Amino acid sequence: MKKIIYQAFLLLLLCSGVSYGAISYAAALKKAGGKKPVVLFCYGANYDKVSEARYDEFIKKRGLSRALRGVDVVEVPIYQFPDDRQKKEFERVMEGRSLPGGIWSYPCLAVVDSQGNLRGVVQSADEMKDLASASAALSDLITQFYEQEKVLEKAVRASGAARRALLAEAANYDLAVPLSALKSEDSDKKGEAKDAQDELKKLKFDPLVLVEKIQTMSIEQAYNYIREMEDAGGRSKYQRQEMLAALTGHVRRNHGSPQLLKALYIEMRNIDPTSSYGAYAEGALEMWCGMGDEEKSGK
Amino acid sequence: MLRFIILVAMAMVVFAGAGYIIYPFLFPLPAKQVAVEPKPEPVVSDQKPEVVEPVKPDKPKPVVKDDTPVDDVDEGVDDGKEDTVSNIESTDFMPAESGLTEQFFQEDDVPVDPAQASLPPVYSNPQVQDARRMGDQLARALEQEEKNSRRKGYFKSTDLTAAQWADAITLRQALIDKILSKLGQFDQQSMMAFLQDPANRLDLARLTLINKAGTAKVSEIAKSSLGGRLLETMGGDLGWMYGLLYSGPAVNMDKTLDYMNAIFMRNSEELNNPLARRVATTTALEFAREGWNESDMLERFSYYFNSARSGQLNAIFDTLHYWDTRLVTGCMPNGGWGGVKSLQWQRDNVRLPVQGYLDACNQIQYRLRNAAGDTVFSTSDYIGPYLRKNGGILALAYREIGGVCGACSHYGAYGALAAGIPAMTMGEPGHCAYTVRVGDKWEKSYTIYWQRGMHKTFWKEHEWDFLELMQALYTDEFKTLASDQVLALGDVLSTQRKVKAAATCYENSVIIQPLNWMCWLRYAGYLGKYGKENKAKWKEIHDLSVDTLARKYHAAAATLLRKYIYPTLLPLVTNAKERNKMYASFFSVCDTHGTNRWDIANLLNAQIRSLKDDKEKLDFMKTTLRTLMSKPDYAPGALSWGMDFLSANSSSSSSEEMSEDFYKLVIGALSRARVTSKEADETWRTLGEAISTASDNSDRRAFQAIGKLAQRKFRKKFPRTKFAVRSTGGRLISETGLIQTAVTLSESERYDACLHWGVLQKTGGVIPGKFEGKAGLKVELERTSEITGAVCVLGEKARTDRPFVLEVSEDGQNWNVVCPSAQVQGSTITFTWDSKKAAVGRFVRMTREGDKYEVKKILGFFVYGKQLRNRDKDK
Repeated sequence: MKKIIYQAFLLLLLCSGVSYGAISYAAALKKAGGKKPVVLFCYGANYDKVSEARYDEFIKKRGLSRALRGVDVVEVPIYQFPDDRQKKEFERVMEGRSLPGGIWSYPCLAVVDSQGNLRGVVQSADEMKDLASASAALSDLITQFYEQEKVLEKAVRASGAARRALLAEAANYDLAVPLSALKSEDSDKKGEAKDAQDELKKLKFDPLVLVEKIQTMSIEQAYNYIREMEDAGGRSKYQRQEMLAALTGHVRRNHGSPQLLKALYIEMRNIDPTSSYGAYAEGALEMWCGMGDEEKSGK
Repeated sequence: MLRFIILVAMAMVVFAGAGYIIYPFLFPLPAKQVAVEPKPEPVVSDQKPEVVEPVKPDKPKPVVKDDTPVDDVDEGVDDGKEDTVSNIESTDFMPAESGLTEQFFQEDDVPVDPAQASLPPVYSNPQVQDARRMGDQLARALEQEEKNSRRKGYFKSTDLTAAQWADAITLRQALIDKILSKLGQFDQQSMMAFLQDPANRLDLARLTLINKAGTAKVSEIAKSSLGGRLLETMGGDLGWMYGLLYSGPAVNMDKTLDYMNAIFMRNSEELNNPLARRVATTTALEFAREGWNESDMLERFSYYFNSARSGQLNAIFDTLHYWDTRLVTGCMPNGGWGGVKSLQWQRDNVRLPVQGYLDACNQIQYRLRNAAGDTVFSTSDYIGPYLRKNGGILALAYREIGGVCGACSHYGAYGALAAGIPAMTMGEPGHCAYTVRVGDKWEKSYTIYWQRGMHKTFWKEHEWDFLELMQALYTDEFKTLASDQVLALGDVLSTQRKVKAAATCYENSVIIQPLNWMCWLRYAGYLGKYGKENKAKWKEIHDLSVDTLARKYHAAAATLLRKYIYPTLLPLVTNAKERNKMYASFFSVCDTHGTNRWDIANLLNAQIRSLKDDKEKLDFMKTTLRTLMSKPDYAPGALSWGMDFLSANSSSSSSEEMSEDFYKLVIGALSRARVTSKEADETWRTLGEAISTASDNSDRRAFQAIGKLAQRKFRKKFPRTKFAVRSTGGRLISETGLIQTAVTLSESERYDACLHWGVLQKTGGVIPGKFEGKAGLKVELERTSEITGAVCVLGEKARTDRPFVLEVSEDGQNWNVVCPSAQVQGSTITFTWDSKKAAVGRFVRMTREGDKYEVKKILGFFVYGKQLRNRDKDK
């Protein structure tokens, strides 16, 4: 019997519960304790019927419970022309904190880490259209959050090429990788964490600098330059697409081989057909390479 | 085990009751339905893009040279899909000033009543007050009517059938007879008494509709399957008629009726739905006014009506009146931004409280080129491939790829419009900004300059002041409606050639509501028709506009004077003293800029053009400058205007003398100005504006004079320590020159423009720089010189990936490269060359190869060499 009670107690401790409503942003961050994310449900509280409907479904009826998996959700009411009471209500929830940048539409479900960095948002109309879609998207973000955290932890400990590869892997998730996410609480590791941040800064290259860099090169030189960059590794999928975008633009404007251009667009698209530059490559195949749907899909 | 499960279940119930739900791993997760797209932030359009099966990576072999041009494969590929892409990223966002809005007065073939044949005499003060009082009475009645309408609706009448509307000629005559019979002696009192009765106002509206749409069109609509019902319902409902006729310009009414008929043919069950009426009427009015096509109009109607009905718009949309709904439903197409696809996407993906749209522009990454290096100005290359794959949604495409000011501002403005909130884009010199109405106030966003032209306007006047005027006009709802009634009555009377009564109505309409721009135009137009030589009446309208409209809406009043009053009035005023007094009266009521800084040059030019000789012009200039230089808001503009005027008239025989007098006047005035802490800011701004204008006009002498004056008066603003720059040979010859940057200066940059002069001095100053192609930094030297080199000091570490180039020219047109590659050390760029190759010229230009490079601060630019003293004299 003692064993059973002990097990039940342990289970209750593990499943510490998900807070709805009353919890403030700061309290939720504190409660997350550096390991878990926090979800902000931001909604138009006095001007938007769509928000009201989602609030009712997601929060009031606790529809998101399954997707949250123990992660706290903070209700953030966004007011239009707030009166004093509404301002106080907002202040009570936010406790002086501001919403992270990157939220573009309400209602939304923003996933932030324990330092308040926005890591991902469920905010598009398609994702937020109903409970099932929002739950699936949110659940996916939370899963990715935990996975990405593991990769980042490894990256902090690793060095050199291994670190670069891990950072690139982390960047491949549908989540932002804030520099502060690499901070180590262990003071001995501070130096390493700084190195990791430097690596991450390098990862955030500006494709326009690359465009300008290869502008004066021959097509051959530019091609080899990009390939060398790729071979050095440590690039996320999106960056590889941007690199190929720079190369294809160069090839196209300099009247390079159509076959080469086509092959490069196909390669660019195939890295990740769902990204914006994947879609761009797909459109470019139609626009500049005369590829019909059948040919593109390889039929 | 069973006990264990029970215990856990009990614990869950307890926690759930306490406001917690334990997330149990016992529950299955919902199936993954929508994949979150990779960075940037996920966006999913309404129309799902085609799912593309991933194809096995197919890495091409290392490149082998192949000379086949890529363009060859382009041939025949164009399927015209790029039509959805417009050249929205043009730099030309500033709308040009429109010409006169001509006024037409329809007149029936009726005899002129001798008692009504001429204009009324000039009003006495009590008469003006009487007119105002009667207008206020009418406004109060209209306000009461509106209050009552909330309970029982507006006045309705079912006295007209569809068959009667179908015989519009007979109906029109019957309405005219009815109205005239009720007007009695056509005096002010009887006319205002007539308007007190809602039944009369409805008849007046019916007649106005027939007059505007034409009897043929009304008959045609009334005979169509739904049109008769539409006219019966609408023409019997005073509230709806107000919305149709008095919510802004009611032009192309025949087309408006066609469009409304088309809408209600498809939505006949909504004929009594107030939302449908508002959306249909405003959409039809705006599409007809702008001359846009029916299919787009129907789409736009459906978008707003369905979105509003299903609660997808911001709550603000429900509170709009007809006039401001027109700004939303009649938003400009602007190359696809106003297309339903893009609006729908923004409605669903950029849902914000109204204030949020002021920052929504930041959702677009500012970039001139995409990752492929295509410039945003080549729209189809830049965004075409992506648009093909996202269903042609412009807003989504720019959010994914990024853009410059045009895309950012359109994204912000159309985000608000998509949600049903009044907003519009606006042009600024070389820039696009936008404005969103927050509450009753138009808030600007993404703006960098005071000069701006609205892209949506009711009266074809693009200045900001007109936007504010429109807002104030319709906020003062009942006075405006009262003046509209009086104006409509005037129009009816003018058709019956009751000149005196019609003119009385027109004049009363501006007295009742001086903010009503259309009333001013109608009144001035009527005076033009029946009183071209009537100086007293023209003087009266001038004084009335100065005394009322000009008090707050200075720019609008200036436009009224310049475009509609001066052209007739000025030739009638032959006495220069009287004219100058008239001119001065305008600025006596303008202490500040009013709602927005405005360009006084147009008004001053119109005034000075009326003067005969240089003496009169100089006198005018002196008087005007004396008045305006004492007004901090107007001093910079007045100074710039004077300099522009002299520059434009430099070929006249006495220009030299005028120029001397002008500079003495200005420099003297500025030198004498006491620079107390209160005035210092304004004086600095005045000088900044003046020196910018001197630079714009390439007026080196003025540039130097103002620069020196600024340094004398504001020593602390200029650096004091000399730069440790080594001469490239010879003396510093650029100190007395003129420096010009390729940057379009923002308001704050113009404010500090005196520091541009400092850049040429040994102690340095500040000027922003932009290097792009042949645009860079240009210096005009005082004299043609033998140049040995130049040194440029930036406020940042100079980029070294492209060479800086120095060119020299004798005429500022034909350039020779004298140094193709500068030495760069930190922030210092030094141009030197073989001293044996003499570089002779008067102009020096620093450029840079490659893409645009913007430098926030250039601190010094020094040209060395020797002035060739006799060279310019010889020429």
